[in-house]
Amino acid sequence: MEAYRQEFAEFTKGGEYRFSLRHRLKMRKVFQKYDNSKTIDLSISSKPKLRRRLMVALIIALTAIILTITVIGIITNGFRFVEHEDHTQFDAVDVMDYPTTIEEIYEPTWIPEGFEITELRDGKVLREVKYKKNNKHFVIRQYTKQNFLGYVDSQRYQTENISVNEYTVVYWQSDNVNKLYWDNGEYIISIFGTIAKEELIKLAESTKLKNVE
Amino acid sequence: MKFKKGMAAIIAATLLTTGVSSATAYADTPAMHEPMPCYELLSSAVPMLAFEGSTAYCETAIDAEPSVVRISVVQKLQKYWGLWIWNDVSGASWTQTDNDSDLTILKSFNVSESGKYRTQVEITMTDADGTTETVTVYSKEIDVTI
Repeated sequence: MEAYRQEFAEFTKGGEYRFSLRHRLKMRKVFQKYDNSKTIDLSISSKPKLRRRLMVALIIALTAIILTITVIGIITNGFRFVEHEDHTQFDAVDVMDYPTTIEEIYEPTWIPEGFEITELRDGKVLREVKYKKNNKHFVIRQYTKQNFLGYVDSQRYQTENISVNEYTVVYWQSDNVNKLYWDNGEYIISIFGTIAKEELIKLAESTKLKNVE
Repeated sequence: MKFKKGMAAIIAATLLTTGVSSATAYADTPAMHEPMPCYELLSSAVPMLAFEGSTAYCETAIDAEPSVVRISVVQKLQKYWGLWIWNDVSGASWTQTDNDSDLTILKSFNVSESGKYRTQVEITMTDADGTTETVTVYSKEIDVTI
């Protein structure tokens, strides 16, 4: 056993082996190639990370799109409705190339029996006529489309879309008052009052361009 | 497997967000949405601002609940300064009061500077029981070049 150790001890006494220059250069090239391929391998192993990032981006994009649609509002019957915490805002969608001031007057040709005009206000972009009979009243207003922006208590009212002549009218009804809004192609018209729904609709049906004599 | 889990998460998030959105947006019947806090006395308000040259037309129509016996309005023309700051235009503030459940205010003012303008309308309503509500509404913003 001792002789065995003495024989092999000769092999451990030597210093570190130094390879030839040619060998070292060849091996360096091999190791460099190995380092480059390790980079490639890393990119392959990052595919799961890329997928996760794509999924997160997709979720964010979908959420942003949905929130944008909510903020922009829903368009119906020529109006765009945007709901807020305590009210709904609505305005006209198509506002280009329409009168920017009240140039022509729209008024009803039928008035419920007994009602009389109590007030008439002529503004630049807003015209109003008030009718009263005892404790009942209604107000007909004409607005330019470009400047129109309505605030309404949406929670209190039940809403319905009604066909009136060739238009679709937005009808709001609560316990105490009713109102109609519609885009007649030139202006926004509204009728607001404490009269019955049928009378409001009949008023809307009879509202036409006033003949200028 | 992980990809399928991810797609399931996307679909769930989309459905959840859509569900929330449908509570606040509507199409043909606005009343289908979930109830939210509302105005007490105000029924509707339409604040309007228009320009013809340098003349601003500030016109607002207000309808309150029939129980309202008095409406007081402060209407101001405002100019955008920047950084979400709006300044009142000097001399362009009007007050009007009516003992009724509706009020319309029609005013005009000559401006001397170009810029972005809007009207601020502060509406104070009082009903027969003495209940008071104040609501502030704003017109559309208009860019004016003079």
